[in-house]
Parts: sequence; C-alpha cells; structure tokens
Amino acid sequence: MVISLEKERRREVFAGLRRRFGADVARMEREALRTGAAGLDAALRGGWRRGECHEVVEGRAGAGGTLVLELCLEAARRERGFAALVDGADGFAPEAVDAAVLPHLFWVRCGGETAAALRAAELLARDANFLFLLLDLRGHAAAELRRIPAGGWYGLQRAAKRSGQALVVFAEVSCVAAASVRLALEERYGAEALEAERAELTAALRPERELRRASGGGADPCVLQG
Amino acid sequence: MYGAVHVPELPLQALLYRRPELRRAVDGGAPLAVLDESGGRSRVVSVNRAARAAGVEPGSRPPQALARCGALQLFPRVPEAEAAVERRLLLAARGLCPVVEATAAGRVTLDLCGAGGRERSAAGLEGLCRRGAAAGLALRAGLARTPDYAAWAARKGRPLYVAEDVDALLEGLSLEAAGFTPAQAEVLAGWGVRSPAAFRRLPPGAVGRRLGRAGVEALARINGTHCRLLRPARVEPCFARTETFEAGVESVEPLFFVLRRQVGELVPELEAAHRAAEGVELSLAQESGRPCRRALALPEPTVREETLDRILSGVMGTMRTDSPVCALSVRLRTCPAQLRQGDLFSVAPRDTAAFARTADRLAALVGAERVGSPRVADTWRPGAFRMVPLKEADVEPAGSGTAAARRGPPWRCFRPPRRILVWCAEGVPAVVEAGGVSSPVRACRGPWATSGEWWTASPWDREAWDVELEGGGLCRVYREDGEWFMEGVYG
Repeated sequence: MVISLEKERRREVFAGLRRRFGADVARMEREALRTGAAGLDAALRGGWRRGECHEVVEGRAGAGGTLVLELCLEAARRERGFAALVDGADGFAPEAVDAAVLPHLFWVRCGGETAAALRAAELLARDANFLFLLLDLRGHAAAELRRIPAGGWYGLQRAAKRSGQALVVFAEVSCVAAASVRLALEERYGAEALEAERAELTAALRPERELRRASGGGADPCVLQG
Repeated sequence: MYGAVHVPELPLQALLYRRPELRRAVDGGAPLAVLDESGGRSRVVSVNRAARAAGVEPGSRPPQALARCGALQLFPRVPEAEAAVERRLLLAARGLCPVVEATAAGRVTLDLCGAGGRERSAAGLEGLCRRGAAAGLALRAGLARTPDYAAWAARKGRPLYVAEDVDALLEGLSLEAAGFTPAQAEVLAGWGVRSPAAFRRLPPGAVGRRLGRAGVEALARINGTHCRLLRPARVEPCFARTETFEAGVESVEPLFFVLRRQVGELVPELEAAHRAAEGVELSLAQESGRPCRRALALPEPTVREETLDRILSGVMGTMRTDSPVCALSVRLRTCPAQLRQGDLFSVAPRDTAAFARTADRLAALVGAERVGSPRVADTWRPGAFRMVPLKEADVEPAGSGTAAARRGPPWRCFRPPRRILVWCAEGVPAVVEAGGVSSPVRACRGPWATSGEWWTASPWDREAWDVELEGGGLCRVYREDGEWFMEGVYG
C-alpha cells in the first residue's frame, strides 16, 4: 500500500513537471535515483540526479540527515550498485542502519580532517564504480567548510558528472557552491519517534528545497520552496 | 605447418629494448653499432640501417668501423637484455602452441600442426608480431610446411611471409643462410652454384657422390622432403623481476618506465603458465638501506597488462623513499587462471582494477584500517564493527530489506564518545550539560544495562539512556565507571 501511494505521488510530481518543463523531464525521470521517501522525491523532483551535486543541510544535529543518508544507501542497494561514503567526522554507525545495505557501502573514515575528506572525495569521484558519492561533513567547523574554494566544489561536481555519480554533500551549514539542489532538514525527533517504524519516519520527511542553479550549470537565482 | 619468429639484429634490438631513449636517435638517422667485447677482441656484432648505409658491417673492428663512419655511436652488448628479449619471444610463442623450439639466438620455431590451419596460424603469428612491435621489438615471422622453410620465410617476413611457392621462397636466399658452412659454400661456388635455388637443380645422386651425407641432407632440406623434429624448449615460469640501477635513481619517471617494462615481461609468464596474478608486491631498495615495500591483494585475478600496470603504478605512486633507489623488484602472487561467469544474484564493482587503484590511494591517504565495507561485529559491545574489502554484494529481491521492521531514526555517533555531565533525579537523567550548554531532559527511555568481555583487557559495563532534550535533539547517553558520555544523536 505504501509502495502504491509512493508511485502515485511520484506520477503526480512528474506529471506536474512535464506540464511545466516539457520533454526534459522525461530525461530527468530516467536518470533520477528514487529515494524511497515521497517527500524527499518531491523535493528532489523525482530523486537523486546522477552527475549532479546535492547539498543536504542539517541545521542542527539530529534533524534527519542520517535518515537521508540511510535512504541513499538503500537506493544504492535497490539499484544494484555501490555507494561511497566519505565520513569526515567519523560519525557513521554501521549498526544503526539496515545490515542489508552494508555490503553496498564503501566507507572512508577521515577522522575529522576536512582536507583528507575532500581529497578522498576527489579520488572517489573519478571512480565510476559508485552510484552515490556521499560526503558527510557534519561535525566540521563551519568556518573551515566556508574556506573551501568554490573551484574545489565545481571540480568535484564535474568529476562526479563524468563518472555518473550522484554527489550528495551533508553539512551543518550551506557551503557547497556547485550544488544544483540544496535541501534543508529541520526534522525534530522526540522520544516517541523511537517507537515509530523507520518507514513511517522516512515517509514523514519534508525537506525544504532550494534550487540554486539549473542542471546544465548556468546560474539560476530563483529560489523555490519545496 | 610450422612457424618461425626471428628478432633481426638481436644485440641492437635488445640494447634499444633496455635503453629506449636511444630509439629517438635511431629514428633521427644516427648510426649505431653494438660491440661484442668478449674474448679480448672487440668487434661489431650488430648495426642499424644508418650505420650499414655508411659501410659499417658486422664483424669489423671498432677502428675500422669508426674510420668508415665518424659519427658512429658504439655501445657494448647487453647480454641480460638479449636474454630478456629471447625469453619474452619464447613465452609469447608458447601462447600460440605448446611445442616451441629455441632454434638459435633470437629465433624460435613453432609446431603449428594442430593450431587450426593456415589462416589461423598466420593470424596468430601476425598478432605476435604486433605485440612485439608494441613492446618495441621488430619481429619477422614466417609460415611454411617445414621448420627450415619457416625459418627462411621469417627472413623475408615484413612482418609475416607465408611460403607457398618454393622457388619464390628460395629466391635471394644465400647458401650460408640455407645452412651451408662457409667451406661448403666455397666448394659450391667453385662449381658455379651460388644459391640454394641453383643447388636444388643438381642431380641428387651426383650431390651424394660429391658431398656425401651432408649434401644429401642439404638437398632434402632445400627440397622440403625432410621435416626434422623440433626440440621443445622448457621454460620454468618466473613471476618476479628485479632491476638494479648502476646509479641511484632520484626521480620517479625512470622507475615508472622500468616498472612498465617489468609488467610487460611478467604478463607473458602468466599466460604461458596459464595463471593469473592475484596479488602484487613492489620493493624499492634504497641507498640508505631502509626497506621500502608494499604488497597488495588484487580485487580479482587478472592477466591484463594494462590493469597490472595501472595497479602497480598506483602502488608505487604511494610509496615514499628517503634516499635514491638502487633496485626495483616486482613479484606477483599467482593463482590458476579461471574464467568465471557473472553471477545473477550478486553485484560487484564494474571495473575492479579502477576500484583497486582508488582503494589503494585512499588507504595511503587515511590508513588501510579506515577504508572498506563495514560489517557489524558478532558481539554485544556497542558500536563494534569490522571492515572488510568491498568485493561483492548479494542482490536481494526488492522489498526484502528489514528497514521497515526497524524502529526509531538511525543515529550518528561520536568517536570517541563526548564526555558530558548529567544530573539525575530519582535515578533518571534530568539535566544534560554538554560543551558548556545545559538542557533539561524532556523525556527519556532506559536504562539499558549491558556488560561483557570481562575476560579481556577491555571489558565494558554501562548503563545507556535515550534522552530527548528540551532544546531539541534526541541523544543516546551512557554511564560507565561513574562518568557520563554522549554516544550519538538520533536522526
């Protein structure tokens, strides 16, 4: 039932987009990697785009970023592919996610070093074996992230584009100049969430979307609310 | 059918194989000659086209050669390089057929009788010549119905000559090249016989009466009525190569070049032994004496030269030396080469070689123990996991995941756990202070007491709580040895 609702919702989203943007949407739909969460799919206009850079901003710790990260791993498993996780602050907990996704995960622990995390992401972005390149920079100082030059982000995005990877950057502040989509997470989980099924929590995800630039690379100043 | 492959001017080609920087000079028209200094008398044994055009012939002494061509560059013979070229030729030939004879220096003869006919044999020999050219060796090959015909055909090969007409094959062939000794050739010249084609026209009885058994055998050889048995060469596989440098090498480029050549020599060894490389070991001997060595297990066995070259180049790119390098060694760990069909129920990286390179560079960047695919360890210790190499993942049917059955948001942990202060009311956390900021606890779940591994040096005994803070945030905290720690944040 949940699946059919998701499909229905997805169909609606793409029908609306087709009316508005025409034939390009068919290509977008084909290249999109569904997240498995209707709200997230809607915010991403169908799913994660291969070759594009997505930024997930978690305004404060525990706002849903790890749930989104798990959905990326689940999408990689579903697509029979692999995801590379560059874990900047070494915060990923393997026991916290579904054990079935772990064989599809390549985990690089960077021990809190931003430079090492970026270098590792550069190396992985050139490897076409991965569907997802997840760069988790949560836990890094905002000032340090803002010092990363825009050229570095664009280089990373271009490498991911050549490899056909969906690049997803998780951070606590907005810092990714090359992001074509920025999602802001503001979920608040109370103690009662511990009793909720995880599928319910993912279905309830409603991130805010900011369209920073068009997928072709040109600057687009418009900001849309998802 | 028999095939023959010949390396013309072996000493010169071996020199260029070992010192490819000279190839540019040769291409530019510089005259080169190789000297054999054994036996106390130097003499020219091999010359290039420019030197030959200037009148320098093999067999001449260095002063004579220099008198004929002042710009002539003389180089000593490199026996190791000649041996390496010959071994490479032998191994490549073994890839075409199992019976290969090392007939002479720089020449092999192949028994292609069971190799699938003329066209297939010709294609195999052409492929061998192409591979030789890619390795910097100009090979000539011949295909004919007897071993001797094949050897003579190889002299005419550009790069391959298929002998179908005996008269065309013998045209232009000298008596010495046909196997006559200089004394026999002199006698025959006195009779007016100056070529094998002319010798062939002599009556067999008269040849036997005048030249004896040797003459009859030579006639049978030239007529193609005698087909000698080949003596198969035995080749013991060797999956290691070492190159020692006279002077210490300080830049990386020459090392990459030598490494590429060593890989090029090792791949035919693998192919000839029907094995594949499953691991590589690279050692650099430094002048300081400090060992510098790296070993790497390949993601899947391979015999591809390009793949091995990329992997080994990647490994060497991550090695650090503190002094000039005086020797470079490569050793392959091998396993039987087996063809494997792709599995419908598992998924593996598409380009395992590229992935191995990436993983190796990442291991050099952050440490090998911090790279891999995680698995939850078989223990009750909180947060325990182990890393395994990313190889294959089983494909499970859609919807078989257990994510739906899990409850609560996933958490993100702090490594190491953050030390915090917790004030309890009636044994339940009431206020949490972390990083100088305190927050009342709105709700909590717990306690969950766990302990274990008391028989080891690192036992644990803790009491964990899930706490929701007033300021927002759902955290897992625990108390161990009277102190409180924050383990992670949910969501």
